[in-house]
Amino acid sequence: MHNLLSMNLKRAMTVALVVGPILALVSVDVEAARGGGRGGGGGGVRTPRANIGGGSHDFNRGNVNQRDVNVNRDVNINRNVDVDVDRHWGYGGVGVGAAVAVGTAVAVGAVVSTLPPSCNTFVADGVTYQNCGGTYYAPRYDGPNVVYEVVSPPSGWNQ
Amino acid sequence: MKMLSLLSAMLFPALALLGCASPPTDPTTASVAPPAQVISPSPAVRPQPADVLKKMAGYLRSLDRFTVRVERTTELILPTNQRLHADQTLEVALQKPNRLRVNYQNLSGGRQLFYDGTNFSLYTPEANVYASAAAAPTIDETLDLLATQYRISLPVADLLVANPDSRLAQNLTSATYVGRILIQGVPCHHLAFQTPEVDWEIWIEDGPQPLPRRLLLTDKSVEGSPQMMANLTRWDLAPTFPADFFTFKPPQNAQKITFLEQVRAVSPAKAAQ
Repeated sequence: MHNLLSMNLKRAMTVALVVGPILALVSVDVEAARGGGRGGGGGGVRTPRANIGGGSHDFNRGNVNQRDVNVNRDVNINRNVDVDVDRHWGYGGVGVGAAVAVGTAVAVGAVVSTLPPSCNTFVADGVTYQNCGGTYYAPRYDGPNVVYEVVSPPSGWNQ
Repeated sequence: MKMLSLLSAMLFPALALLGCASPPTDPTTASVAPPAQVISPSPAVRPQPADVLKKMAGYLRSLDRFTVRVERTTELILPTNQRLHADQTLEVALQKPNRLRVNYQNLSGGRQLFYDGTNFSLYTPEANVYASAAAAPTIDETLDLLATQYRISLPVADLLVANPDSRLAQNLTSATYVGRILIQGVPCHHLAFQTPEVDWEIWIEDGPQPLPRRLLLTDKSVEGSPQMMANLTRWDLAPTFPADFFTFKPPQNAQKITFLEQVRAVSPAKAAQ
C-alpha cells in the first residue's frame, strides 16, 4: 500500500495542478499534463484586489499563487477566493481553458471544488467522507469556499 | 384650415378621454413623472480630497454599530483577455469593537461569517458544513487574521475597520477632488487617488453623514488592470441586533469541518501516510 502510494506521488510530481479561480478545475490527467505543461489555463483568470490598502488584505495573487500545497508536487493555485458565482453553470465553464480531466490517478492532497458523480457518503471517526469510485474525499474550507481534498482511505476502510 | 380646427376640436376631447390631459393622479402618468430633483448648492471653496476622506473616516469611527449592503462587481480577465463582470452582494452587520456578521449571498444559499468577539465561524448552508476557529479581540485584528491566515477577505473592509483613514491614506501618489455628483440619488463628493499599485475612486456623501457610497478601484498590479466596483447601499446607522445575533449556533445536522491550513498544519504526516 505504502509503496503503491509513494509511486503515485512520485508520478504526481510531474503533474501540475492548475486550480482555476472559480471552478477550481483540476487537471490531474497525466496525458493532459504531458501535452500542455501546466494545462491550458496558463496564468488563469486575473482579478483585482477587493480592498485598497496595504498588502495584508490582498491575497489573490503573489504569495498565494505559488503556494505549495503538497511538498511533493508543484501546485499552482491561482484562485480568487471571494468572487462568489454559481459554480454549477457557465461561470465555471468559462473560468479557465484548462483540461477538465479528473482522471484516474488522483493524488492525495489534490483539491477539487466539485465531487465526481456517484459518491457514497460514510462517516469514520466523526468525519464525513465521500467515496467516489475508490477515491476518498473530505470537505474542507479553502478560504471561504468549500472544497474536497483527496485523502488516504480512512483506517479500517482499506477496501 | 377650417377643417383642421374642426378636427382638433374633435380630437381634443377624445385625447382628454384617453387620459392624456388628465391630472397626474392617474398612476400611469405619475410613474412617468421625473423623480424629485435633489438640489444641493456647491460649496464656496473647492474641498480638499484629503479633508473629505478624513471627514468620512472620522464619521465612520464615530459609529458604534451599523449595517450596510455591499453590492460589488468584480472584473475578471480571462486568459483570452475577455473581460467578465461578476456580481456579489454582501450584507454586513457590525458592532464595535468586536462583533461582526457577514452574509455573502449567492444562488446556492451563500455563506455566513460570524465573529462574536472570541471565535469566528464560517457556515455554508448548501454543503451544510461549518468551521470555527479562535478570533482576535477586535474586528480589525480579526479581519487581518482572516485575510492573512485563512484567506477569507471582506471586500471593502478598508472602509469598515476602526481606523479607515490610516489604511486609505497609505502610499498615495496623487489625490484629486473631482467634483460632486449624484450616486443613487445621494449627493456625493467624487474623489480620486493613486498609489503605485492601485488607482481608486470614492464617492462620499455630501452632508451631515459623510458615508462612503461607492468605491471603484483599478488594480494596476495585475496585468490588464482589472477593476472592482462596490456600491454601499442601505446604510442603517441605528440597527437593533437580537441577542446572540453575532454568535453562530450550528444547525444540528451540520458537519464541522476544518480549513485546509489547519489540516496541513496539524497533520501533514498523517495525510501523506
